[in-house]
Amino acid sequence: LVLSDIGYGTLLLTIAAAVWAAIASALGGWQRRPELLASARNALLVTAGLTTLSTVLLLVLLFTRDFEVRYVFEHVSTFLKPAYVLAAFWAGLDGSQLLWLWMLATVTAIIVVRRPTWDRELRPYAVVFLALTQAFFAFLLVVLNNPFELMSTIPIEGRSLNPLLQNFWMVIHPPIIFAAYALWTVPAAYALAALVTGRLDATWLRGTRRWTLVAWASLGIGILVGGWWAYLELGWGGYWGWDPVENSSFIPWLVGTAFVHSAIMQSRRDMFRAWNVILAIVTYILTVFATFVTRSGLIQSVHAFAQSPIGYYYLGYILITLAVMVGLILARTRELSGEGELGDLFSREFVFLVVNLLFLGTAAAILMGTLWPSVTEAVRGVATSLTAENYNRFMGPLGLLLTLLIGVCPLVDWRGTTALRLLRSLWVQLVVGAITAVVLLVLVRGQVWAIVSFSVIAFVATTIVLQIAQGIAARMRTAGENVITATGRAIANNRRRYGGQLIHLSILLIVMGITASQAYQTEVQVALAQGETVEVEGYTLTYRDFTFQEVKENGNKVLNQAVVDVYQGGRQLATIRPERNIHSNVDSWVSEVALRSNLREDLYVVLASLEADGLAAFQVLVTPMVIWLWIGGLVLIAGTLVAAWPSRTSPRRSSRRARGR
Amino acid sequence: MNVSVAVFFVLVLISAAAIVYPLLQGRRSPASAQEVRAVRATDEDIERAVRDLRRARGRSGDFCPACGSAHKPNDRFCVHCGGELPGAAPPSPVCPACGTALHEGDRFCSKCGHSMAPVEVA
Repeated sequence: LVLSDIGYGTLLLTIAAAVWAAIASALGGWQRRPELLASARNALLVTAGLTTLSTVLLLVLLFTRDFEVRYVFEHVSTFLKPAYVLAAFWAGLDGSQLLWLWMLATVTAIIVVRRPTWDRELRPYAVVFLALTQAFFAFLLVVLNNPFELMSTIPIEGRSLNPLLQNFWMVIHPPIIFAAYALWTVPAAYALAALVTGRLDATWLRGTRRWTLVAWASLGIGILVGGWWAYLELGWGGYWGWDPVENSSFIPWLVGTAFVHSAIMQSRRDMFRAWNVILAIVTYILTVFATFVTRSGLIQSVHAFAQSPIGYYYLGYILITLAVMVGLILARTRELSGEGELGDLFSREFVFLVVNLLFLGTAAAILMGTLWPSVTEAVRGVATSLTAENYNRFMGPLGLLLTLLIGVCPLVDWRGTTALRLLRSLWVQLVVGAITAVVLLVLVRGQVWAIVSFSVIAFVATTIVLQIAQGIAARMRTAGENVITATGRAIANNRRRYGGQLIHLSILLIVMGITASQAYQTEVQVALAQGETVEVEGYTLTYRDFTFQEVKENGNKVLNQAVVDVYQGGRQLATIRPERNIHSNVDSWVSEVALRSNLREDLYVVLASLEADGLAAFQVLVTPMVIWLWIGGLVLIAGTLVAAWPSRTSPRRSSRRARGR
Repeated sequence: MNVSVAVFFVLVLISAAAIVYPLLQGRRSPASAQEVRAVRATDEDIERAVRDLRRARGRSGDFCPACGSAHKPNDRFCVHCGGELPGAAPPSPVCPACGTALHEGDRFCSKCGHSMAPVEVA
């Protein structure tokens, strides 16, 4: 009772402090009054403290199972495991909104607590946007979805967490996604500040580079983790279904990827100024749009959450931000024209532009597909949604083309090259790609698109490996270093380049995993009596036993479990236990998939039904190379760390060098 | 109820103190705040003047016209901002991989190690 009152109070105070921070920062920046800027900074440190306090309070309420609080009642129970109590914090609308606010406040505090350097001019205005966004989120929490709301009675037991969400990856998926959303606010805020001040050179891009990279990587990792959760928990053997909620987080990732690339162009060649400002802001806006899609009930989706008027507040926020952006851009057309020129058809600049357009086109296509049901409902009165098949038909070629460009782009010279020269630097890769295609055609066969895809992957991988090898070989020759020292020093001296290469490699691994798992999946549905056996792709599965059992702790469920022995080549590999359970708090069956992964393939067994006499239906899937998607995710993290890890010495060294010349 | 009101009141006090303190400090010594502003203004004036001077001289070839940094004769791009430099008469070649300017006879890029020979297979 006391704690929830205080929690509500902290949210009210957050609104007040954030609104003041916005006013003081705007005035302070405009009239150059340091004392106002200092006051705004303190106000934002206050909101960071307050939101931290309300986060801690909600956690305490959840862990003490204070069921008088509606949010606690709806998401936890006395028998829920502690890890899932944590997941319950962000399982519902109110809690995840609070998580988002807390992360945004933390990010803002990290910005304002540091002494202004490159952003002395920009920061006051960036802070205005960050503070207003905090105020908006806190306002939503207070008015629409107060996580501290009390109920008129005190129930003795809570509804507990949806069993589908009781999974380790669901514990970490929402925080990663919301961290990504909060981080994307930073480049957007500085882009707006650059527009307000008219300082549209690459300063804002360089200064926010690390924020952008980490935001980009977190969003990608969040999406991958979500896919991994779907693969483990939803029991249909796939990790991506082109569901509106999945799409809506993928769209900002695509636009963000375009931004990361065109930011390089502006730093290097002073091109795409307007593009970059727009892309940074639009990426952030699309993350808010993702929440709008998820929460508004605009689009029916597998994991559509309850409908809520909150969607229209988001829409208002989005429209206002876009209007401000457009207005500022119109006012700054002169400053937005950079000095770089596009160059000719075979120039790096031009390829970058093509890459950019492809990313945006892909994002636009998915956005259209996602909104399609709403469009058809408005026009024809019947909502028809696109199938995964529809999406794959255009996303396959687009994805492959983008992958191919990873391999071509580094070979195209800045400011132009000739077709002949390009071909000369490409022939090794072309040969490797062709050999791959021939080998696959002879040995593996399968669908044409998969073979094309693998040959593209081989082509691109060769480019990346050659590029890395050239750098290292040059060091070994000129500095006489051995392989290890040369590799280490080459990376240390040019981490942006090699971090980028690693990230490109990670994309290749992911594309490889997607191709193999989509093209070569084997699915068998079979009904077995106890003691019977089925063979799938070299695995022999013997259905040995089954259990029905009521389990009190951890979810209050009736466990329906089959015990299956797995043999391969006459040798027993494992005993797996697929489950299909009834939980006390949901009306439907919930499957727990039995999974055996290795680098080659995944054996994925779903218990489709289990009769009282032990007759069981199984769905057995053997999917090659799924694990490479997750390995790709790890490489992506590694690449981002290499590219974005702060270096203590380099700024000073580079400025000294600049002065020396 | 009383406890929560008291806690809320304390929170309000702490927040207000943190927010108002810098304002009071600024007001108590208005001269110093003004001075800070004045100094900052002159600071910027000086920077601008220096930039203008350098930009003017940039036409004669010593400084980058975009950012005002010094550069070596015949540099084609500014080492500081990457901008193109005017009047670097003989267009020196650029590294195709990273865009760094190359010097006569370079076989590898000094920046990224890219080989200037056509791609060889090791």
